Amino acid sequence: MKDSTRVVLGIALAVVLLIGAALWLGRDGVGSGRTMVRLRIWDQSFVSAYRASLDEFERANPDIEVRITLVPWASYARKLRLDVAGGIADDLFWTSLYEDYADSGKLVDIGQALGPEAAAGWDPFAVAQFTRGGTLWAVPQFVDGGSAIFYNRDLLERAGVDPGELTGARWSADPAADTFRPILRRLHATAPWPYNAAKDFQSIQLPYLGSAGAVLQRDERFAFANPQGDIAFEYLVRLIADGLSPSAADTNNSGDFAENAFLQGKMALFQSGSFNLATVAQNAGFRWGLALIPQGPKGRISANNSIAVAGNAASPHPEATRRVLAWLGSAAGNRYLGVDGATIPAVVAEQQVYRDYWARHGVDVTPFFEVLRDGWISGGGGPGFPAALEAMDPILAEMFLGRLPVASALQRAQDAGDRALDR
Amino acid sequence: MDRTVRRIATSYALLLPSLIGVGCFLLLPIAVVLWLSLHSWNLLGPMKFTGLDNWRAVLGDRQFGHSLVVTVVLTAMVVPVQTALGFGVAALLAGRGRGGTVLRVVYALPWMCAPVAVGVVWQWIFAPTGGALSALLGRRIEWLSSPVLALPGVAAVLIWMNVGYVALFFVAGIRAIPGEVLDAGALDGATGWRRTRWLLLPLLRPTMFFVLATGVLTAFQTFDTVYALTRGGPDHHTDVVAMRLYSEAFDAARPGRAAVMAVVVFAVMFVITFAQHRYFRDRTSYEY
Repeated sequence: MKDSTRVVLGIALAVVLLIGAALWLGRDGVGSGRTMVRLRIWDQSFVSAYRASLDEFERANPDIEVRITLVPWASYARKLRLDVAGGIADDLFWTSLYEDYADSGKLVDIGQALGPEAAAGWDPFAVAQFTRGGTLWAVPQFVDGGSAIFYNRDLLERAGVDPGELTGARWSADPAADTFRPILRRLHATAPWPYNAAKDFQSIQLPYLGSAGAVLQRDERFAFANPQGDIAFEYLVRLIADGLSPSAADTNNSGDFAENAFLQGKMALFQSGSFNLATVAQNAGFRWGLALIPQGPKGRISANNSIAVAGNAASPHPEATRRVLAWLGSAAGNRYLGVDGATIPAVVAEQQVYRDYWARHGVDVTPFFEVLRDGWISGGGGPGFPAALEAMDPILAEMFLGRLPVASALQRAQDAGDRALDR
Repeated sequence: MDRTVRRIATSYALLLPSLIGVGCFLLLPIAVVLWLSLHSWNLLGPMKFTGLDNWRAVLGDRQFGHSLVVTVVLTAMVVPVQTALGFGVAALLAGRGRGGTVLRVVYALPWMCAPVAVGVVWQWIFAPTGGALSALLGRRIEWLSSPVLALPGVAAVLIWMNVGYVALFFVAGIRAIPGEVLDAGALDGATGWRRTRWLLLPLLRPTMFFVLATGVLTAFQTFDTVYALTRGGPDHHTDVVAMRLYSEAFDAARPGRAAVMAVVVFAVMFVITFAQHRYFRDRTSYEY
């Protein structure tokens, strides 16, 4: 055999092997007689809870196999959009901002798929978040509850601050009425940073806006550039300028800075959500507790964000997808998310498993729930909302750095956000 | 079959794999980009033909113009410095034996690292609180959030990444110069700076062209490092054109406008490379 013939045959064999390997790697289990449904999420820490839940589902539904796809949060939104556009998105996927997809007919109508009574057991905040135009577009999976303050008990004791003082604390533009700042000043004696005022959308910006009496959006247009918004952000910016919170140069580009500072014992009060509870519980090497966030001029208002699973309207297995959705929204399927304290299940009847888990570990999670008694502020949404947040971000970053006056920064950010929505 | 026809058929058959490659991976994407530039699409809804609307919007977009300027300034900071440093490193390393090989690998290591990983590490180095540079200098400097320092900071990281890579080409170029030429130069008194000015630099002109051309192209396409370091901030001071393009395509979900930006950037890069080519082509080339 000639050398050239050998080379050609070698190349042909290599091509056949490569194609075979690609087909083998890309097999989807159809040949096994089971329908494969894929669920896309962004948080590694939820894989084991979902796996346990889905294993139970598969035992009861042997004709369906559910696989979990993990796409990191940093690229999740962009990759999802591209995959939906390209028709290769998973059958089910986590979502928080769903409006563009719903408006484009890319999502399964949950009311039609599961019946209108399915929503009765779900957290009403979550149902409201995922209802648009009277239609529910996703099955709520978990709620964050409201924001609370994680406090370092050791630092508080050293500063002579009783944790009970936090519960009655009130922030105000009027120094005579402001009882929160004096507490922070006392804490400054024991901690480099008493508090985490920063460009943190859910845990800081929204609660301050809400408790100042402002809203983020009205009729899907931004509406925070007003005297109430000015008061809220002016208060936050002054805390940073006065050294009572870390510099925005540290926190603007690093969302974990405050959490790390708290865990390192350098921050006395860390205002955040239930999504950080497990991390704090595992990593804090000091005594800590949870308290209510400070009250503002209009009370104590927090956001209450939820994550849901949406069904891909273009799924090649609509019936199997519907059955998995029904399971994930059921009490039996949903409770797994709360059993190990990972998050607050969206099925209201199962939220107690979350409280029980933390109670067994000596943590009273009541502040995450109690903060919502005064009311809550919507985290906004609508078509183009992610682009609007991106457009506003650099302007708000400059404001927190103290390089833009609050009132003009808010107006600029609002205009930039609205322009992004218009596109 | 006529011999001529057979020869032509054979030629095209041999060309076919390349033609398929060029067609699928070059011409088709270019056609898709041009087609996208004439349409409005949010990646989810239907695509609408909008003619030259995207072109008008992008060419009138001051933010895009700003990004082009930022990119040109970044390129002007990075390319000359990395070329000069790369040449200097190569001049030192070219004559060394085994130790030189190890050093060349060490210098090239940053270039082998993933740009995003480099960006993350340097973000920590630049961090005002707890950062390595602040600790080393004993004072707090807000490198990446300062409008004055952010772009030079990004440029410094890019230079650090590329110097070793550039040096590899210069080492190869210097080694390709026959020893007799350098020896003859030395006999005529060409040592030190004279050797560099009158022997190495003229003889390395082809290498210089390659390093400058690829340096400019790479600097113009800088994305990963900027994304990891500053995400275009503070207040768009490091918003290079690739960042803007990415943001337009995926944050704003307007691939049509991003396509226009891609075409404009391609045109700018083509003009710069063409000018460089003309400049170097008209200079003397040497054959040994």
